[in-house]
Amino acid sequence: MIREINGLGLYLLFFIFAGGYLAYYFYRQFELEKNAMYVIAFLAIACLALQFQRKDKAFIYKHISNPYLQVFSEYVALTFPFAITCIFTKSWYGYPLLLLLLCVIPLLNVRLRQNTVFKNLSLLIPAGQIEWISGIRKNFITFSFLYLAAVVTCWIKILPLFFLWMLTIIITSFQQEAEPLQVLREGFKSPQKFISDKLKVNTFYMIVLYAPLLIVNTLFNHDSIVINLLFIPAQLSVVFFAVCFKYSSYKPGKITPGNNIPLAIVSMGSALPYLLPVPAILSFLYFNRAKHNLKKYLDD
Amino acid sequence: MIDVNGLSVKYGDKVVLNDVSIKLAAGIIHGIVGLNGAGKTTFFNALAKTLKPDAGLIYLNNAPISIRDSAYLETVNYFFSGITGNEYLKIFRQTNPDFNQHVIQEYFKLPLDELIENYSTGMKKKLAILSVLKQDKPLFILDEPFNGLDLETNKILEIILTTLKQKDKIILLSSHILEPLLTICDKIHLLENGQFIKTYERSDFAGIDEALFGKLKQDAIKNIASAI
Repeated sequence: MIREINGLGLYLLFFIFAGGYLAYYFYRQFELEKNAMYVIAFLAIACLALQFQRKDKAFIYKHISNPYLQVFSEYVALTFPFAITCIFTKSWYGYPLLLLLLCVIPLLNVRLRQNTVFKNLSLLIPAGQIEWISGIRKNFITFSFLYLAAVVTCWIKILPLFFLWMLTIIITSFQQEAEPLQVLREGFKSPQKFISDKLKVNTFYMIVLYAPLLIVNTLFNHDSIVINLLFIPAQLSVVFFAVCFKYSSYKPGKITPGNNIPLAIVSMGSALPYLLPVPAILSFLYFNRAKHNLKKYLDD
Repeated sequence: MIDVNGLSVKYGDKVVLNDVSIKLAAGIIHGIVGLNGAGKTTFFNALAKTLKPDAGLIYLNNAPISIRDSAYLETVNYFFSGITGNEYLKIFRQTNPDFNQHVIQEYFKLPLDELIENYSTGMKKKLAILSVLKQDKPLFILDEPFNGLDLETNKILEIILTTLKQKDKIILLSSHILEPLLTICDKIHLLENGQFIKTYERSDFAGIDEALFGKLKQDAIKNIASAI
């Protein structure tokens, strides 16, 4: 976690700002007792999603002397700024409840068997989009569940958006692994073209996945048209950020289990109206950073 | 022909390649040998342009070398997780018109429909070799290509390298075991303390072992005999 924070450099200020706003927003929700449980559930689910996605589980559970305490304390530290204000409100019991939920998460050291599922996935998704092939294959249970849940509930107000928002978190996790240099160089694109093409591909897949559901949802809920219209750009900006963030620190063969803190904050930001510009601004900033970093590997 | 002029690479204060100059002709298999830390991989990385040298120029056929010129098989083969061997190979466009995956696959016998993370080290090496062979490049850099391969595949690799040589490619090999290089290489270049100190022609190969390990063997025979 410290390594990830150090790696952010000056951009840490953005995350402090976004995190600060989020903490304040949650505090306001805790004051409204009926919303407090939603926030607690949201934080617990975010940590659960993180637990399923993190790539350092095998290392931690094998080499750290007390892995459960280690993982638990990480989630407590991560949620602390957002949840601690709960104890100063009428919903004070929410915080112990959150801690209780966080106690369970480290026990979920799920390791799926390395069976090869969807062997012909490259017939549907071009082999060049290895992030999507690999991501869907590795997360097919969560991915399918969330998407089906969104499909089944697509006529209900807001609820499918929540499932799609969770799906976006899964999709951003596709960007945690750096491809080998040979794969990066395939096609010999300039850094700008390389990243732009990545963003175009992600835009295409997300529109194909999200747009039909949002159209149906709008037909049933006319008053949600603005939210539904803003939803795809908001989610795209999170995925754009994940792509640019990955390539801003790309090193051949480097597995980046990190990215979790900024991505978690940016993902949360995409769900809150006043924070919507933050992922977009950060995507733009990191786009330039990524271009600069890729020059080392793609420019002659 | 590769022409390396005054190539220097430093990592911090440590000079890894020190004003290296060498010419490497096409249609020849060049072996690069040296003890650990001599700078073999750094030299390869500079040729493949995966690192920027601090000084020096590298030319391929009188033009500055480009990232498009080399097919590079690295020592450690890293693959993206969650993809199959077939998917990995599909990523690379086939620029070598003669490449017939099925023929090579008959010898490599890779489970291409399986996830790469389930492959053994040798299988991963074979997959990386397949992806390298798919590309038509003037320069083939193979860092420790024999690592993890079984005896039969070692022989197949020797045949592959000889075929590339006949196609007038420039082939650079390294190995931490000297024997395969003695069999396959036409020239062996000895890298020591960041400089090429000697090039051995095939007729001089017998002297390499002595040059590399002469002193070590003298000391070790005496010391180890008294230690075990």
